Amino acid sequence: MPIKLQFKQLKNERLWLSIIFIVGLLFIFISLINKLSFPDTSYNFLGTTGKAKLDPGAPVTQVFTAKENNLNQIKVLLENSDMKFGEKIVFSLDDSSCNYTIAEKTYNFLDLSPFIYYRLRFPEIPDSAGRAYCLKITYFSPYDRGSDRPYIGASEGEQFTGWSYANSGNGRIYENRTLQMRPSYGTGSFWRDIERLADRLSQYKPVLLKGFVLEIISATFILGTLFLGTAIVKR
Amino acid sequence: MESNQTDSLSQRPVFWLIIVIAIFFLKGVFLSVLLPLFQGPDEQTHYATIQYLSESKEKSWPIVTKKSIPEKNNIATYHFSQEIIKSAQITQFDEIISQRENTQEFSNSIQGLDENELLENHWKRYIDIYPVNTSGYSSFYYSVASALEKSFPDQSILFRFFMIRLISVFLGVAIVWLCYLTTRKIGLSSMQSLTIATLIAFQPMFSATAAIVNIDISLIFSFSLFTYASVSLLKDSFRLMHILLLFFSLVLAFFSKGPGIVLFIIVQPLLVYLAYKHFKVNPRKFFWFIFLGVSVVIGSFFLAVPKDYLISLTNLGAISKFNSPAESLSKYIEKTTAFGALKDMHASYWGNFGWLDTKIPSAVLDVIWIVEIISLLGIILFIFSKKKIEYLPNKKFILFSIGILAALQLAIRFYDWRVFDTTGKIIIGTPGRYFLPNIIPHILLVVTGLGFFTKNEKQFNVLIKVLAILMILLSLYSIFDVIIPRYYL
Repeated sequence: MPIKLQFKQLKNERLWLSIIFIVGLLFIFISLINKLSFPDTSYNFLGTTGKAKLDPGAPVTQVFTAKENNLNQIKVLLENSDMKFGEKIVFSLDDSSCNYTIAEKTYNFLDLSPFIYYRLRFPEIPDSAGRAYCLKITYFSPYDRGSDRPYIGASEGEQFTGWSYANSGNGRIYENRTLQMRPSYGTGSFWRDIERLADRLSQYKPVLLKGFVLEIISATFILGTLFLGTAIVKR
Repeated sequence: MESNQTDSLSQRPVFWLIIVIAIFFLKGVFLSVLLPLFQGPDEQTHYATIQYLSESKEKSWPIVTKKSIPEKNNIATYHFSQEIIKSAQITQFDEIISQRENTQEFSNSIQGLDENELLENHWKRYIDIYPVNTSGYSSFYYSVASALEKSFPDQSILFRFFMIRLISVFLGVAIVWLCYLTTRKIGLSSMQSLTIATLIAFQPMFSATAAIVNIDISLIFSFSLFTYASVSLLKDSFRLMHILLLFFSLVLAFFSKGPGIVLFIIVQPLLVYLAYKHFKVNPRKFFWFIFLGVSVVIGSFFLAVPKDYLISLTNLGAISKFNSPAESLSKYIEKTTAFGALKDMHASYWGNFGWLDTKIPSAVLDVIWIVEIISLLGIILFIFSKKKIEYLPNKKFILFSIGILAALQLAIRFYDWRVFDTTGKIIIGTPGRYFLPNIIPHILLVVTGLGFFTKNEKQFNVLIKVLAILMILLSLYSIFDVIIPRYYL
């Protein structure tokens, strides 16, 4: 009986360790896959920055032109975003008139603040290059948070000449400025996304750590870690 | 603590130690590639120092003297070599540093935009504007890195810089190995020691520190060597090899970074304790002997060391911004022990990468915080408990760990306070990474504190396995969900 009990305990211990390890790995890699989209890096948010304060029920909108095909995410820098019960923020991708919604994502008080950017994800739009879209952000709240309400970072500078966004909360259109947002693109397939990520990782690195070598190093590290983790679970 | 384990890990500890170290090395190389050029804290200054030390002693080029204060977000205003400034500009250093929303501009190939310019090797590698803005520290890390820099004169800055990052990876490997040796020496089983070495090998901030050009890693190595030597002496009493290691670690610490001086304080009570145990003399006689000895040492120290040096070290000559030392100290404590300040310190101990702009989300850090608080409670109970727990480390090792932890905390805070006293501002601060030199004693304390709540060795083994699995997951999360999205997605 005690031997049976010990065996059962051991089995339980391995089971729980395996569950922790597998669930953790799934969370990590699914989370990476969700972020696996390549933002427009041709601009950075430098110089004078401002705040596009969000008023309840009044959307902030910006029309932008996609540079590439396979638009599949919009990254938005939303600050002061800790939401209370009953509050929510709706991100939507609309057509260029800002009237027809193509995709939508709602964040409420149950969602954890993301790492740096909020991401509005949607199925890839294969022929997005050159087309205009509208990013719409609407905040809903039963509270009067005054100046403590969430806001979107906004930037101005030469590189944003001709860009604009509108804040219906104060009825103003801000010319030659942009919300701190980045349209983000896929490649049409998961493996090409991985290849593109590997290309990015290789840039500005010494020749002997680029491309194939880097892929081998990263793959061996991941497999080795899985091997070690499995050994810890099993032993 | 060597139980009747029959698992493969206990049977083949060397094989598994090699596996842990090999994975740590691969992780280090991978991380050193992930973090863009100069995106470690002060990495451009460290590299500039290495390059400056590599210059020929005969300065055969014209030198211009220009008194100017470098502007924080303008690398061109620093008195560095042309090569460093141009390389930083091409890789958009000023746009990315401490601005988590910005990234480099990428091309659609493995070759970055303007990357060829970095490979052409035609920029000046020496500083021609003085005074130089290199680091004020002298460190053995700089000496080794400078030798490496000089060994590859024909290679590009990318090659030389990333090769120097690998020095940090190798030091990291040595630290993981020392952790295994230390825990074995304490009396933990090979399985337990390997699991604790895994905890160290996957601690995210330590991993990142062991993948960038910096002198902190040399200090972590010195502290780890000191810890191993001390634990060996505590376990085996005086052995020439361990005494030599102890003094070697002191020399290394002195030539690593300023806080290395802390070990010269810690070593004294350690040696006194060891002498007391070894010579088994009458306690009263021993006390008077030590009192006399310490008085002579301190007296000689004050006579021998120039007062100017002591004043500059402690900043005692400067004028205080406060009415009294008590007011200054209480204001300092108020500022640095505020909840937000402690949270920042905690974040940068566990994972705030790059220029402290790439933080593990606070929800994850809060879980670690809870675990540490429970372990702190366990440590307190363990110290005051009369219960003998065979499978936990002996209390003398725990007291040593607390001592070395407290000494570094006090020393760093004292220095930070002295600067605060004369400026009224927190200039240096106490980022958690400054406390990484004590990573081995810290992890040992966490494991022991939590272990106090286990009922038997089997439960303790399960506990450390859970911790190791969670640490591996935390490390993977930091790499794939924090660092990669920050710089590349």
